[in-house]
Amino acid sequence: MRFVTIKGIRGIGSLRQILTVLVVLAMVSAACGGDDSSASPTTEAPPQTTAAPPSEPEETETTEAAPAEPQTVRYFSMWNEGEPQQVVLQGIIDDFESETGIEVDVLWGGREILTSVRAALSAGDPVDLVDLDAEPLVGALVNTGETVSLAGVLDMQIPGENNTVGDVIPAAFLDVYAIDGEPHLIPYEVISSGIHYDGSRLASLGIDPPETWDEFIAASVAAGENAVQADGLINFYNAYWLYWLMVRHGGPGVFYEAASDPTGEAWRSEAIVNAVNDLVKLVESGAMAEGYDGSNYPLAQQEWAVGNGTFMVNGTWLASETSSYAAEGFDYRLLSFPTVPGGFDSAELYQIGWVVPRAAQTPDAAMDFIAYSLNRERLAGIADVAKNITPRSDIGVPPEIQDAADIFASEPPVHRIYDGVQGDFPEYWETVFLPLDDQLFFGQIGAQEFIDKITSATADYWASR
Amino acid sequence: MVKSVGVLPGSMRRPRTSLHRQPGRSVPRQAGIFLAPALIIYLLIIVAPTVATIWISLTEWKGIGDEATFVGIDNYRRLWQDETFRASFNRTLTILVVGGVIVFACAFVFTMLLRELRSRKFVRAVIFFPNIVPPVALAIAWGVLLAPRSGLLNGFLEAIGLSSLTQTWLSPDLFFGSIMAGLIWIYTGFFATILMAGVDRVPNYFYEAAGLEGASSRQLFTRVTIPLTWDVLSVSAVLWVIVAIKTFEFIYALGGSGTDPSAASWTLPVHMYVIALGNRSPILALGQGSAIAVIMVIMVGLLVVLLRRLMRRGVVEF
Repeated sequence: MRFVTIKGIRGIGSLRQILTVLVVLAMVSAACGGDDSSASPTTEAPPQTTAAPPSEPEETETTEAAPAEPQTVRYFSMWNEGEPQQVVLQGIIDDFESETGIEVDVLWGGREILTSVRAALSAGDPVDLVDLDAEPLVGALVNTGETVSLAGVLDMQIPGENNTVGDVIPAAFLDVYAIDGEPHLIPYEVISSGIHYDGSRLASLGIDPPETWDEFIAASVAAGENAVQADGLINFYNAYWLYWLMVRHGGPGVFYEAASDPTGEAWRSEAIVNAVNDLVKLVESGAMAEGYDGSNYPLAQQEWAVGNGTFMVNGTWLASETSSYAAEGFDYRLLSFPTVPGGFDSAELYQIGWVVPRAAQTPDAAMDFIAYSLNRERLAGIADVAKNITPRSDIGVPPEIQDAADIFASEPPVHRIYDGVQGDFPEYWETVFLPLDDQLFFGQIGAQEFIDKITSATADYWASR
Repeated sequence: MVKSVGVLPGSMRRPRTSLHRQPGRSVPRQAGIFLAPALIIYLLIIVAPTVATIWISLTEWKGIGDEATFVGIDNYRRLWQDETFRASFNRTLTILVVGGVIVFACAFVFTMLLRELRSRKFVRAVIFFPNIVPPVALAIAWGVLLAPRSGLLNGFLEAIGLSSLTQTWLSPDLFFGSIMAGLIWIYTGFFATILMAGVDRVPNYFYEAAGLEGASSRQLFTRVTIPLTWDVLSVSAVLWVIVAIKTFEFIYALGGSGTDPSAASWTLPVHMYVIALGNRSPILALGQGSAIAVIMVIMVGLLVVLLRRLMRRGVVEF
């Protein structure tokens, strides 16, 4: 049997080829540009149309422009529907709407809310109020000059009490992201990080809460299997260790300085070398949980909360995240990150708060909402319901986050999370620091190799810019 | 038995219906009116964004509020010098080539095994199943399957006495291999289904005739199945190129839960996403992100043309 084939007809063949390529290009373009909204702002607006910044609203005069029409605040929030903070904020929004007549049109967009904000701004849609954790928010909107000063809000009286906003929000919190001395972000939740443990478990193991790094390693080794839990696939959780050790050894700013050093040589400073060596001590101690380098969130924190593990470094939200499934009698305690001899003592301050974009159409109403929300009783939901710390020192917290609240009680010097590197140099953070930090934390490379690699990678990074 | 094995001499070919090929006739003016809506939509939603992407790839731009600075091919040069990008590029190529060979090998094995199976439609539905589940859900399931201490795979290995084979499947050393395994599992069913549809089209008498003449299974495969499904295979290869280069969700969801995956698992689209938008800490290097998108389009375009040339055969009619 013989099969005979016809040769394709050339003309049609090439026409088909052209059509095929066109279809393929279209599919790939769609994949690159449309799928998962991954590049939507890239393609949504060519630079010509967006290069011109939106006109700056008159900060104090806009409200009187249209007194007859009910105002609407278009609010883009980082919370998803059903999250405790969303529930609290929704309650505040409902009260605000009924008391003021101002409508709040809120988008509960989740942690990638900035993508929606960018899309709305590109399309010229109003964005009056945005909330998110400070580092990405400041990096994306405040540092690019797209937000208005909220200095005026500090003098506003909080509805329902005799305080102004400036009376209840510590100036130290506002100063962290101030531009020319004026705040652009007002927090409603503050976060820190440290080493979490179950107080009753530690007591049953006969271990005293460690204070220094050496004590911490000794306690971890004594605590037995899976003593230090970690979800290794979350690289920014892994980064807590080295960043904290650097800040402990060299003080706030030491990591920032190394990351921004064009020669990279700052990574060879004594403080950083000591920090790296300290981390290697932990990695080599055998105290890390088995398979921590391949643990996918939230596996490790679930195991830790049910008693398979003793210590876990994380943000102060950990109690809020794990309390629904924690072992019975779990006694949430938090260690400030262990100290080192001759080192520095400062507290990490991370804030979740509001900014008002320059493109806002009802900025005054948005500011009214901020002042309204900061009322003691209204904001208390963040502590009681969402089990997180508020910036107001007169709001008590539930016992499971008392240690975290105590971090700020003594008004210590504060530093930005990850010493500001994540927020100010996000590309460096993502492509240079995190990959090498993972390798160090997983024991793939040693201290000297890490220092050599990050020194040259830092120099290469800045040389290419 | 063979009704027609198709060779029609040139003079007997069906007359072309294409208007513009008829001598003395031009495209009627009305055709333009009918084409216009589709053309306008195509230009607006496909061509214009593609052109904008090419333009943005030549600029440094952080998006709204930032003035785009023209930097020529700097973004491309920077990517070329960037070790992280080269690693992402290599991973994409590995998925494309190694993953492709394994996916098609498995798909053919399924096709041949199932060809004569009575319940093949049911089996086909089963192996196609991963394609109807969102990749993000699959990634979460794989995370549970491959978890280090309480994972199902390690648990299974321990249960059957193979504890020595347990691994930290999502550790940096094995992570990419796990991603490959996941992608192969997802797409084998998809391509097996396409190939099976092609094979189903082949009249059984070819196999019977070849069998009577003493053809072995291998010969049946190489002399009957492959030539008679060549057009399907060619289209499948093109589809795989697109799938392999643009695969994003599975890797993104398996590698990062609420965060960007570690750079050790980035492929081109993940790299593009992270540096263009990122997650919690957006980098907003939209110029570089667009440059990666352009590179991906060029890669796909070149590979498709290459594949079409390599796989160009006449159509066998039967």
